[in-house]
Amino acid sequence: MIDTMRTHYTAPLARAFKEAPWRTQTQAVALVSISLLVVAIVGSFYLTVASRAATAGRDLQRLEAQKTVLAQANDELRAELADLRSVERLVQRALALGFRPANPDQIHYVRVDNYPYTAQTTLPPRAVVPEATPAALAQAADWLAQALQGLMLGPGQEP
Amino acid sequence: MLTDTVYVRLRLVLLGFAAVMALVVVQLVRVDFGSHTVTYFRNLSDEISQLERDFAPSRGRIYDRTGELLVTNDIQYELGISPPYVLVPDDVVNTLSDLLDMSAPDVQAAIDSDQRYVLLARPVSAEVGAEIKRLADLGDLNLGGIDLTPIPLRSYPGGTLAAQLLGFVAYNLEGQQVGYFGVEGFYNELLAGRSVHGLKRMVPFEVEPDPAPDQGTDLFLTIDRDVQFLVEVTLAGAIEQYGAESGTIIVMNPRSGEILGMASWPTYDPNHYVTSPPADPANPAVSGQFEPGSTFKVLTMAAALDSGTVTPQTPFLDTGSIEVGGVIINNWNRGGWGPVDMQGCMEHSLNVCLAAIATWLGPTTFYNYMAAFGLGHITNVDLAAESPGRLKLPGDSDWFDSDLGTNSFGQGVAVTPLQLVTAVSAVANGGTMMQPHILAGVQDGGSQHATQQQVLGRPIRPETAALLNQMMATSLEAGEGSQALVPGYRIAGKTGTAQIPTPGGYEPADSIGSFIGWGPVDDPQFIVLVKLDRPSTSIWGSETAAPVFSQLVQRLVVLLEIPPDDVRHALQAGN
Repeated sequence: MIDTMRTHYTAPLARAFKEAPWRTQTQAVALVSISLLVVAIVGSFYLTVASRAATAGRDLQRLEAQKTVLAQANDELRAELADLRSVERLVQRALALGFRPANPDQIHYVRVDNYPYTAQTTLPPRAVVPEATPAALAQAADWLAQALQGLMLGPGQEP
Repeated sequence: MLTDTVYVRLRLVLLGFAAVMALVVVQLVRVDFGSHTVTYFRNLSDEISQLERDFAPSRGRIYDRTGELLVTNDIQYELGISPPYVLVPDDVVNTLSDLLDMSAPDVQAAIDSDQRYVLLARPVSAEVGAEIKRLADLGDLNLGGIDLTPIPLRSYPGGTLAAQLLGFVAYNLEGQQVGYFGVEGFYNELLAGRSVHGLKRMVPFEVEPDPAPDQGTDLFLTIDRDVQFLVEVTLAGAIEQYGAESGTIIVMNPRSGEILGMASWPTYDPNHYVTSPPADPANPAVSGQFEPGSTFKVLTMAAALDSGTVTPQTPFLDTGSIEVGGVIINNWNRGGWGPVDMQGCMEHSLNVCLAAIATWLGPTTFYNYMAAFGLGHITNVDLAAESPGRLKLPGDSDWFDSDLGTNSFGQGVAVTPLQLVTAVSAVANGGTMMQPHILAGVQDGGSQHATQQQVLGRPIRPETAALLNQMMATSLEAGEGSQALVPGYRIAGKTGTAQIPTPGGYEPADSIGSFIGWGPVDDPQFIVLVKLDRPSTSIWGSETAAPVFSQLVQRLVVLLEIPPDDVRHALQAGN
């Protein structure tokens, strides 16, 4: 009996609830809100990415400027060093320290066994570019191998 | 009622907003897709957000054979004013008028200009630029509006050291650095690298790394900085001691053709070529032509020995004069030496004897040998502005029969100092002339390349070279070039005293004194030419250039670590 009455009264309430004018408006508002939320989330993602890109761009600009300044400073230091090492300056310092040019008869030659005497003066150009050491090359190879292995296994999988 | 009114008004406001938004959207669409506006706004945006420019590489540096820096890059500044950004004119005026050679009203006029940028000074030294930056950083003065733009400066730390050999760098009309003369001129493209045209983007979203230009290649030269300094100091001392007007010294390795030192006087400082421009920036060692005089006799004798026309013992009766092609040729002392052999001819430097030898050779053989020695042609040394010299040949409109006689002792023929050194180096190097060169190697990025030595020619046989080598050493020990001797070392060489040609003949009083020598005779490792123009103390090369040679070589053997002959023989025997 009670169940029958509940059923009897529930149906009109549900219908009234469904047909209430404010409910239609609420649905529209919810739809709009959800849309706005989605747009906001997408926008925030976009904003985050854009701000990161802008930050990276600024960093790049700053690093390029720093590179230019450092290159200039390097050039200035190199020129200064060359000036300090100029022959004329070295000669003056040597003379001030009491040195003087040696004559051939003041030089004593000492025989060193197994020392290869070469009459020809052939001095190779000095290498100033550092080359990769075997250790560095090995580390680079290890890193490449690990990176490739990681790509094949996928994230979270242990090799 | 009230509610309805509110709704109506709200809708009107909403419609208003919608209309504005629609306008904005329409305008956006018009701007973005309208045919002419797109171009206009895109250009405007590009103009503001990016800068189209050339990314210039830094010019390659130049080192000597031991890696000592000879030429490098430094910076200087272009100083300008951006009037809209000058906030405290007094600070700017006072600072710049103090630091620059510029009056306060001139600076003030620049600040008052209605232009966006006014160039004040270019170039401004690095020291002044650094001082302006320091004052700006201190914060006591407001120097806003001063623009300092770095511009590259070629720096020669040694000043005048090897100036004519290195050349210099100047700006062309496009504002680019260009090398002139010497190594800078010859290897300009290699040193300059290659600039890249690209965009410098200002908007952070669009920023990309700057395009990388091909950097200039670093060069390693064959010269030894210490040898070069010795050569220059010796030359400057000789110019002063003998009252010469100018001069040249070249030191070369005859075995390889490597130029170890090369200097001429007067010289200049390439750091200040603008403020103190040289009268002639060319390198006289490769560009200057002169009549070599008696040093040339080495080549004539080489041709005679090599062709079998004479031997060292061939007799000759020197009467003091000889007629060749209608011209009477005399000895340097206008006397006759009687019966001599070829060794004696070289010892006493007899013009008459050498002219006779040339007639025995005949013009065809004589000039074939001279051409084989490279006379009349550039040596192709890697230095800019080389001259070919002048060797008149039979058939040329200005060649006469008498030229055969005068050419034999170095008159009527023009050579450059390097040409003479290269030709005579064949005698020192067993008959083989090596290509003279100044570049030992290059370094481009991470890779290095050494220059390969090349044979320039083999004008005489090794046996002839060995024979003449001994003849020239003996004649030096017994002849008029004895002031060139170096204690402890056996040296071969020949003096030269040449008249200076004028359009109508020769200068009556002045001469060019020279000496070309090499050693040690049994293992030649250097060949040296000393040439002094118009020495006032003596006209004779034997009294001016020969002692300079000796003085130079006594120091040169120390720098090149060549022991005295007896020590060297002992060391070689020990090995």
